[in-house]
Amino acid sequence: MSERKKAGRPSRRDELRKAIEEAGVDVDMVDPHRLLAAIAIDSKVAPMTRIQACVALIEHPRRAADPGKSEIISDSKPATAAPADQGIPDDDITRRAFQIMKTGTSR
Amino acid sequence: MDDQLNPEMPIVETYRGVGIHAFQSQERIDSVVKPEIDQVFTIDEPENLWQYVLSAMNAPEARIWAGAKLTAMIEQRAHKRLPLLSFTVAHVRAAIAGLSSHWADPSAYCSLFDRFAHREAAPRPAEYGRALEEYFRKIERDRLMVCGWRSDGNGKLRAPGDTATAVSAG
Repeated sequence: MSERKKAGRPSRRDELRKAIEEAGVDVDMVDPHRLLAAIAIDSKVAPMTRIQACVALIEHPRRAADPGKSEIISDSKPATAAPADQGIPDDDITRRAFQIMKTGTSR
Repeated sequence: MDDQLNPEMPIVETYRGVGIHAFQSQERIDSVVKPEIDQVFTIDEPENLWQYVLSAMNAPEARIWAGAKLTAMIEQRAHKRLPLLSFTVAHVRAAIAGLSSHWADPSAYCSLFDRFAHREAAPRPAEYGRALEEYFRKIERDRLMVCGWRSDGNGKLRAPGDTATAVSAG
């Protein structure tokens, strides 16, 4: 027995799902970092948009697919590699502070 | 970042990601420096970090770490369009200037720029002060030798082609 179709306009979710199916896009295959990188290097895009894409890339560096690994793949890995058992908080402020110390701007 | 014109203080060990300077006893490192680095990890208020950075009573390593953390906070606040603080990144850099370079004070655990505003810094034992001065003097001497300066045999260095000017070779 087939499910009875609801009357009226399709919901926003149904519309979105239909649009994705028509476009032939597998959402699991979409890599947000690649999209951001494409925006960042596209000279036709507005400059502020490119800057925002760069900021997003810097703030959210790509991590390894394996959840057991905390290693950051991109070049913006924490400047000072410290053992995890030293109780170093894993937050944006701490990561950025280590980068600042490494670049010597604190001298 | 190593820089010939502004040589860095040598690091003897890294504690929780923060480099600990040479020219101090292991006892001081364990009883003073490491607890102060731990303390900075617990400070989250920018104003409290700023007061910490300003005080020459605190260990240079902890002040540098506090300064880096404060700089990161200021950057994040600017990015999030939060209200400005009463101090800027330039103020923070000025407050910790010289702490990890040849501007470190040989007679106290602070920088030479701290001496006029803060006289409360912990004194550095004379033997460590002499070792610190000798370390940076040797770097300066090596740098001059690379630039063509030569020893005149009397413990003095002479500039290339200059027979009148001489500086102590240390």
